[in-house]
Amino acid sequence: MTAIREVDDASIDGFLVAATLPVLVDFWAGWCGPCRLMAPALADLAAEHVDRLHVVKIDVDANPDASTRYRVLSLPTVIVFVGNEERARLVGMMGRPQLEARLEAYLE
Amino acid sequence: MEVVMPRIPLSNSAGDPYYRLIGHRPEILTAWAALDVAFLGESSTLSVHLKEEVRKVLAQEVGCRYCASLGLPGRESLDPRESLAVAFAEMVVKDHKAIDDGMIAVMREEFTDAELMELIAWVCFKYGSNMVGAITGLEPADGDDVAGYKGFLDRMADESATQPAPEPVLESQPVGV
Repeated sequence: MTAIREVDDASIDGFLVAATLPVLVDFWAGWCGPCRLMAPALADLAAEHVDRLHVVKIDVDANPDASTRYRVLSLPTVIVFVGNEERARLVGMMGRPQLEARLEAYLE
Repeated sequence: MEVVMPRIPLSNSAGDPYYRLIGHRPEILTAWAALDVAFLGESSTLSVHLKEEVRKVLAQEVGCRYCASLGLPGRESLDPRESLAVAFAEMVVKDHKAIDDGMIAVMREEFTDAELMELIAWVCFKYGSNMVGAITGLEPADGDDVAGYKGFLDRMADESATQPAPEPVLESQPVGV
């Protein structure tokens, strides 16, 4: 069972406000090869750290408002929110080792 | 602007500067050219355009000025399949040890095993080709080299669609570096 939830323009703000754990938002699109290549690593992190981190994803093509409001200029972009505030932004493709290193503070 | 002279003089072999460099060892050059044709000719399972976009991304990353001067990546023109292939090549250059089961599974969703094996071999061949140019300090291509390379790709695209794979002809066929 996947630990990644889909959010959209209508639900993302409410999800971030209500979250009791840090939230990693994966901004992606179906045409984005780097996004697709990173997806399994994010799914693994979500499954392995389900008690430390919420992982959600949002399709930027179907949800242009959110990508504009969160100033997503290129894909892939991953943003970590804590208490509805942005704490970390990862732009560009990376493998699981680099993801874990960059997200270490939220996985421990 | 920094000018880096070639560290090994070009041989008198026929062909473009890259061929002339490898031409110090004619037997290797012949096999090298044949491998290029095997990748791009009739038997190829992936389009010339896809493989050229992969090559251009590698060229930007590895530091071969000659290879990079043959064309800039055209990311805006990629379809989802090409985008995935290019991303895979970028991952090889950035951190090939980070390529794991999950990434290969994604690739296998989009590519057949034959296509994926061709892509992996192409990435490795071109990565090595770019390393040759980077290590030897090969100078950027001139206008004739760029035009010759484009002509080579156009011929490969045509021939891979309609004709048996041609024999490598060193006098007129630049290496796809």
